[in-house]
Amino acid sequence: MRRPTGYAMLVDPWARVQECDTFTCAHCQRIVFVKPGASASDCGGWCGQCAKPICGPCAGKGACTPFLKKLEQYERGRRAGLD
Amino acid sequence: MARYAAEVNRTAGAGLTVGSVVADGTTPHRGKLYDLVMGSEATPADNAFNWIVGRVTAAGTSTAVTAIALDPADAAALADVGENHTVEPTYTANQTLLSISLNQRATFRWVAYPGGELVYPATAANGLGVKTPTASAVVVSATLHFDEQ
Repeated sequence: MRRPTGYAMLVDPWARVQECDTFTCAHCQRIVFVKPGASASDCGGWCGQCAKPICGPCAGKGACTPFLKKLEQYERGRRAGLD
Repeated sequence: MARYAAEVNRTAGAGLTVGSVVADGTTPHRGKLYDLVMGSEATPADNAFNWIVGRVTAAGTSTAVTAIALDPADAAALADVGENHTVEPTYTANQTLLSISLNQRATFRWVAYPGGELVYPATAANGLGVKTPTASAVVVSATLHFDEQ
């Protein structure tokens, strides 16, 4: 994966330090660990509409629902409910 | 946009949640978690933990933690950070954002690059929680870095 969006590090006193790239699913924000050399589709999928990597479950849905759009709708809904 | 750090602890035998950061009840602002460190300061032992970061829609009851502004010129954080929950936050079902199983001796860190942060909404008491749902017998702690918009 050329453009990971995160990095994870595991320090264990009885093992070597393990480092791993991660990406955050653009549709649900799940953090996905990327194996070295893996393509986006190996880690889940690639959304052609929002041009971002997505996790396996979201890739299986086959629809583009960016998380930030869902977040805005949620915030609007909650504000409307309070009015 | 200001950045904050907060350390949350869970004492042995308390609830399953290690800590939470949620938008304030009266002046909610959107926030982004971009750095997370998790581990245990207890006497080294071979206990297994499954660490989970999830979304919460209610903060539960906890001891308040003051988030420290990384830039001293910034105002205090509006977000509410809590630890040692006596009433668990309400986690959204099927919204596990990070799940990793660790030995007690291990320390885990996750850092998001710009654009990869975990975002919580500007909605009262909504935010993120860190928990170890499989065991609560040992002291564990987590450091959360977040920015508030």
